[in-house]
Amino acid sequence: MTGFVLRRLAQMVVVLFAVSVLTFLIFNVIPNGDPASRMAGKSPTESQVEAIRAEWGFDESLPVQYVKTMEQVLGGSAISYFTQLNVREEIARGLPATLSLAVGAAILWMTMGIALGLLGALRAGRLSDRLITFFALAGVSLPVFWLGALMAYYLGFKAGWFPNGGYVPFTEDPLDWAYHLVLPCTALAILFIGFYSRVLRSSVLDTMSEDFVRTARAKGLGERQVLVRHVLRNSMIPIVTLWGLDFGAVVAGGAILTETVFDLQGVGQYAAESVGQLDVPPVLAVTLFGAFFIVVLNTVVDIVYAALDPRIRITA
Amino acid sequence: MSAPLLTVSDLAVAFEGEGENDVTRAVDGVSLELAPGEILALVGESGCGKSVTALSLIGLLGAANAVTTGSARYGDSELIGASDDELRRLRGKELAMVFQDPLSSLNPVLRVGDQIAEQILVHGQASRADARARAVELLERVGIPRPQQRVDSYPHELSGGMRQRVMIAMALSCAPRILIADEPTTALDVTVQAQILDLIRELRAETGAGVLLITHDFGVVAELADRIAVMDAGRIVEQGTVEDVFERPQDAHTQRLLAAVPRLDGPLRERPAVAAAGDGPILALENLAVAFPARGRGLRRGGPEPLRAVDGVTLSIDPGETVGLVGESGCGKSTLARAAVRLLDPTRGSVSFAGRDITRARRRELDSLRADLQIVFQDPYGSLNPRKKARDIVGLPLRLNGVSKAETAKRIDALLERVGLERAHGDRWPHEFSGGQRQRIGIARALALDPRLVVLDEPVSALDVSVQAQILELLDDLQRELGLSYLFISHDLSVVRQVSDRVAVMQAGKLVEIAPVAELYARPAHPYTAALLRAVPVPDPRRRAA
Repeated sequence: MTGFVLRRLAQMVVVLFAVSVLTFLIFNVIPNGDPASRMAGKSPTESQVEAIRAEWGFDESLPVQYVKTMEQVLGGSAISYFTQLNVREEIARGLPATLSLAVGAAILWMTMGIALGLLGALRAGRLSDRLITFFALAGVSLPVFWLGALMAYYLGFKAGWFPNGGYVPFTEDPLDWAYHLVLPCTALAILFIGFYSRVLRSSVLDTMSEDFVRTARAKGLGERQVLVRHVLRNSMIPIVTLWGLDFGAVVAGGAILTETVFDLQGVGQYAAESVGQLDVPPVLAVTLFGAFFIVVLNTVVDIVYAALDPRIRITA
Repeated sequence: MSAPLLTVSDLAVAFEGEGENDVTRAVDGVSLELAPGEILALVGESGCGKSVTALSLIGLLGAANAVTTGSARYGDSELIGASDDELRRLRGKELAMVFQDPLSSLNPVLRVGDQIAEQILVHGQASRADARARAVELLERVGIPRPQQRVDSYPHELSGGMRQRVMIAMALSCAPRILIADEPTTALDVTVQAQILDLIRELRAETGAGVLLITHDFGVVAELADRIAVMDAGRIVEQGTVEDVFERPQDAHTQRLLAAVPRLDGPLRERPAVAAAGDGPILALENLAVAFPARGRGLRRGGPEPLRAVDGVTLSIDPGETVGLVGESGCGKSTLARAAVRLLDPTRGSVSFAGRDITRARRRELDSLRADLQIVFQDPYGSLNPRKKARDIVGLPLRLNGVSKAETAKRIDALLERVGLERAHGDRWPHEFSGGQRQRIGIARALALDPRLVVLDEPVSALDVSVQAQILELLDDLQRELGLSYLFISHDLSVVRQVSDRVAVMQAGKLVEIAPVAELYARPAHPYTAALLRAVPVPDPRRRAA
């Protein structure tokens, strides 16, 4: 176990290094990517641009720039090229909103995904299964910026049942916090519910045809016991895999659209704005933060695998 | 004879298809009785309806389109048409089942003790704390060593025989009156099979339960059963005591089945003398070894020992000769076969084909050798591409070797006819063939390039005895006509005896004995060979092990 975690940490360093180099390179070779000329304003003189270039170190070789930027990003002193705000503080400011969204949506999509997936499997081929399938596919196909916007407009702005976007910190008013999260969490979760219920449905159906399920029935177990004790645990592995990837991506700012539509001011929204401005330090920081989360969650997923299925031994 | 425990009369199971008249009668008017303490064998070939009969008795068919009619009386209860709740109370408590494959029949993620205890608890036979103690007792009863520790094992940590013991322990946990055993030893090695059969016999004597034994293996029937019911196409064609049915089979189907059973004591088949060994052996393995790196790296340096699947085997096959290779599962037979045709790279030793060392042959050299060196696999279901028609499967080796289209078509027709199929069969998909027909396609594919040596890896293990006999016949004919050499791998000693000139016995990666067939079976030199031979059930109730 210790060896496993150590090996995963070593792998993480490699992954983060590769991610950071790639991100850094992409933003430096992109057309119109020269930060100095853009920071200098609308019609700068050549000497102004040169001065900025020298001040920010853009005149140095790429490897040197990379090392310097990384030092600042990892040391927490990196600042945005355009807002001059500290990147770490900005991420820390957006994190509560993002985490709230991710956790709320994940709870919603896991419970609903599992419930609908099970129901669909048990009623396979019947009307209720077809309805679930239909809504699952619809949920997967609806773009979140469209669905979110509709929900915000009709349920928030027009009907006034829900607040029209924004985020209220939990520490300020827990009720209002939850109230503000209902729509964004639902909008984000709908996509995942669709995926998860489909995956679980087919996984449960596969497991149901296994010999040990017949054994469980032959022992005299009721359908419910068969389902919970014998089927569900054996069907959970694909769901856990998906969860590790999706939850990590959402926490790491992957819910860019949802955050923007509902104006949550989270990490995703920050990332989206930074990318729009080709602002390298925040983009690097958010990307690394995301990669870190995804690697950590995948490690957690591997540990959960071993807990779910004793045949899987933890070796990396 | 005491009053029957179970009386089945006119049982029928039909599976309704999509169409109006699309009905498959899997079981068609079965009547039988099972007395306390009796072992009744329900025998027949695959698809004859024997498993469906058994499963329908306890409502476990699991198909929504199955219609069951007739009657099955157990005590005061009528099982057919009983409510789910009623059946659930009987299942596991009064009527318990043991299934064929103990690995897939046990839940892989639960400890075996918990799986046994679960059944005791669901029928309210003990408290939670006592259930575990009961599980330990049961494991001890079915002969599992160190039951205190084994109770916490997961199924994958146990051997096949131990798993089947666990299944039996589970079935016994509530002291059922009837035990339904569906092919309980088919997935097991002969030595393990012998132990399990002993166990069932003991338990019957001890508990007085009636046993409904479902099997295709007449050897097992002769060893264990009191009475036999022979099934064919959903009907019972003959029923009687074991002695009567074996010695005076009345029905033609029974007679055919019994005649097809390969026996250890039958006359040896006349075999043509092997061609003078002037040209030397066609295949020679010299001290061959194949090791697989152990999976997963340990924390300690060096890691676990590699698995030595084949460990120093020396073996040669002459032109026109059949060498049988027997051994229990996991002994390295299949690995040896794959290394012999260089589908696997040996880690040590050498492989020579027709006097040429091919141990280190490169890809291109091997490609040219493939024409001479073919392999037929065990599973005729898994080894044919389901998305290719039979003629494309048979013709692929020809196409790969640059034979023209017209020539290929001609050769495919000839090959199909040679293996006893019709030309028209070439346009069918694999799933449209029976198991035996599929194996014929596999053989036709192997013969496409006129090989000199064919490695047959369990070619008949997945087939019924009557089909098995046909395939063996075909292989024999082909050998005579084409002068082929065979390396015939099987776990079935009777089959190997029937086809081989010489037999090699393998244990834990090593050859322990190799001898001409008559000699090996009459006077086994190695104790392992002797043990294997002793464990084979004899299809003769009069010679039943005491």
